[in-house]
Amino acid sequence: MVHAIAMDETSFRSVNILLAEDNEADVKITIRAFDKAKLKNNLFVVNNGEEAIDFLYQRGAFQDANKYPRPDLILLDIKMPKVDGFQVLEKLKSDPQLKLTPIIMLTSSKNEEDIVRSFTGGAASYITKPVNFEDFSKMVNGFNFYWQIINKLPPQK
Amino acid sequence: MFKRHTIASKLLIYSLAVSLVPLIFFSIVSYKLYSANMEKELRAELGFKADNIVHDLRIYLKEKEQGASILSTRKTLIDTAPRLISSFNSHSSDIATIDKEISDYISYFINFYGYYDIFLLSPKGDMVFSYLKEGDLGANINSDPNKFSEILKVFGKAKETRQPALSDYGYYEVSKKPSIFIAAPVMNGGKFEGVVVCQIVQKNVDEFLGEYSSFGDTGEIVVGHKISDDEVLLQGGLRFVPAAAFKIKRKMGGPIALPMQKAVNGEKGIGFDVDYRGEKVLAQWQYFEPLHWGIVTKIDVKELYRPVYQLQYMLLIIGILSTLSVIFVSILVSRKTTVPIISLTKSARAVAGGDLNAKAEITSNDEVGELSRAFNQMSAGLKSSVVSIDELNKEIEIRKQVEERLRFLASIVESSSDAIIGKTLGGTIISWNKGAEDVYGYSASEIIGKSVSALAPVELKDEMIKILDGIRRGERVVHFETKRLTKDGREIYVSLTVSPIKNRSGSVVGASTIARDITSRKIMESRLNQTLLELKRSNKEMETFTYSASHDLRAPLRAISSFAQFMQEDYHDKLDETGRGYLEEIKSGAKKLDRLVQDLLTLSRVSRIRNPYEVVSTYAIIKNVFGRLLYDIKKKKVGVYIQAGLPSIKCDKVKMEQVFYNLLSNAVKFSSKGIYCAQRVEVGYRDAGNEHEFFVKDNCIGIEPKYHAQIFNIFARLHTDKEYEGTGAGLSIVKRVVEDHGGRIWVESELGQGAKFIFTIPKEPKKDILEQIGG
Repeated sequence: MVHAIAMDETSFRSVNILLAEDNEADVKITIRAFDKAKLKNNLFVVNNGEEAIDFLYQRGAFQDANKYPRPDLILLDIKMPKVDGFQVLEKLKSDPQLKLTPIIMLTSSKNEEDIVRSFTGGAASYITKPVNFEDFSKMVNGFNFYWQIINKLPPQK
Repeated sequence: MFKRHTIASKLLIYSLAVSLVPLIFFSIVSYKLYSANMEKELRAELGFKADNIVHDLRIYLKEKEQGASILSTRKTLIDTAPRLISSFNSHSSDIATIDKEISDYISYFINFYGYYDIFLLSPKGDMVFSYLKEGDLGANINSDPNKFSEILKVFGKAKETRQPALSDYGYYEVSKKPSIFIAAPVMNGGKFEGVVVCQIVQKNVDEFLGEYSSFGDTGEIVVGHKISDDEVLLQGGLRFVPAAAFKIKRKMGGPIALPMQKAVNGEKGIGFDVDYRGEKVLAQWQYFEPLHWGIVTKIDVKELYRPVYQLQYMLLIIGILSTLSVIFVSILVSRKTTVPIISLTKSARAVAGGDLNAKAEITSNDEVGELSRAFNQMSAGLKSSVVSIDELNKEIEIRKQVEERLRFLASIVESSSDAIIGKTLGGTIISWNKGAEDVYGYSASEIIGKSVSALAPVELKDEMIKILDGIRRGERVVHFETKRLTKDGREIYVSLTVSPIKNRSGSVVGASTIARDITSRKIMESRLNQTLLELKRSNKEMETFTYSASHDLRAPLRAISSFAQFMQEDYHDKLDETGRGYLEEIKSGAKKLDRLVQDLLTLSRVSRIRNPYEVVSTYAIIKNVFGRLLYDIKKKKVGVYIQAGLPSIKCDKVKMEQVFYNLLSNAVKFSSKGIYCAQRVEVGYRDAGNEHEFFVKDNCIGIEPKYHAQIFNIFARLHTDKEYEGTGAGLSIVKRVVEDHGGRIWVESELGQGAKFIFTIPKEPKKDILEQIGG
């Protein structure tokens, strides 16, 4: 049986977050918002769905498990070249090893069909990116507070 | 002539006297009533505002207190606190490591709740942790009761009650900032491990109070604290003296800042008084126990009475206008009275002269009209006694006309371009007009005596037999569209009307067929269908395009806005005031554009998604909408009135809810702006025959008639951003939905008179044209 270890009890291990985002500007904005929150997270960035899958399976350019650890949380854009967010979602949720990792859709789309599809596919949360940076920053703060203080993350092997 | 003038001038004088006296009286009374009423409303309004502030302030503090509670009950903190304290006591070097660890954790709370700093105090009062480490770290708060007075108070209270505690708002020397402290005890089981203290500073408090200083031009919220028996310190919310909080003091018992003096003494009330600037104001004052604050909500008397002056001006104009119209009306009335008398006189003279056709014009039903009528009867009586031979000639003329008409009818049949065919019940053709020759190609001599079945294509012979069977039973076939064969074997489309021909005794002896060649129309129809299909497709493409375009636009917008922000933050020193201003413009431009894009998205969604119509209760819809708006309605204290007996209607339920939501949320939004509004929103209904007619009415700003058509256009904006947030897409969406249902929408409003939005929904809503052709 899986014994869930609460985040609160794991001392203060920094949380590894994987961001899959193809838009260069959005990557910079997200990194800056995380920096601004002054949190001790490791934020890893990949630029499309294919890289995201490589990262998660620690293959291709991401073979070094010390440099590229399994993430505790995944921030996933929907519209990406090669393999899109939904495909990544489907792939991870069908993998018994990776399916516990919470996936948070982080997208510009407010489209109802996208929202329904994300939750149906097993996403843990759906967040739309605000246009204004202050709002973006607040959103990241709220995100961190919820996922790292209130929520209890599943264990990492 | 002389007489006429006398009647006119008498009428004028009478009506002026009768109408102006009550008008003057009425003006004075309504002016008095209005002033009194307005004052009453303003007092109520100010009371609402003030209560809201206190309400929101409580929630604000509660939220900050909740943050402290959550932090103090986290396992991480409960475990770390004793470790920190023991290494503090033993001067162990471990403390730096533990401090660093917990700092990361604490930072979440600082960020999320917007605290300035967070401390951890040991049960003895040692400050073993401070996130900002401003110089108080390591001190024991008992060592300097003066410096730590507020922290000491909340520490003691939290320790004693085991509950969170809130300090007064005071200047904290270490941070050099006015601060509020919130303490929460750290308990491990029953064991008291210390106290977490969260600090809120002036910046946060001012932001909170500042939000309210926007009402009217002079509205302001002032908070004050009684620092000694004879002095009040103004602590925030000063709109007219920025950055003066904590600097201005007023003497208790002094001649100014009277509402504040009452507030800090624990009184609550509302009235006219002199504020801290010495200005006359309408103020509400009350005491806010949790922070020991006097809170004064006020607005300058000068601003309040502006509408009263406007009313005076308006009454003057009304007076002048009514005097003018009274003069006009009395002249009109006197003319109406005298003109017929003159005309009657004229006619009487004509009859007297021998003209028996002369008639008096009857222009009214009054006594003069009656007189004219009597005169006419008299002259008619005279005339009827003179016999004419014209009657006989007329009779002959009528007979000629009947013959003419019969010939005419026959030639219509012959010249009609429709085929008109007579046949027996067995189907034998007995008459064949010129039109039939043109349509079918057979001449009359060729076809008469043959069977009509020659005209039907093989597969439709049965249809023809069925029609004849129907005719035998006396049935008609009207505008029946089918195919027929011409002489040269072409298939044509015809529209048939077949009626039984009955003999004198009423039994059916044959049938008449009128056939119209509709081949070219059929071709047009199929082309039209094709075009409609294409239109539908391109519409759909257009919508998809709008959707994805507006969607993709948001990413670059985010880049523009965010990088402008980064530039402001990172290159602040390298830019001068102008440069920083430009960046601000970029950001606000991006923000506006984003709102427009979002509206476009909503509008395109309304067009894209179509739900089947169902019968729904509009009362249920409105109740739902109210649920969604409840927060605003309560917060803004809007009175809402729903007419009883709202009907169930056939509509797209989701979209109809959107219609009511947009209209009601507009009304609520408008109703809450400005201090002069009596906040009232009304939803009503009228059965308008084939249609349901609904209205949503507010009584606030109103809309000038010249804008009435424009407001339904997408992105029309009547109000500057400052006055009214939101764009014009809401009403465009409403219009779109209403018109999709086959209804209409319009607005009745005058500036300053509130607005009434009225829309209709047909009881049998029309189907979407694109849907009709199979979408």
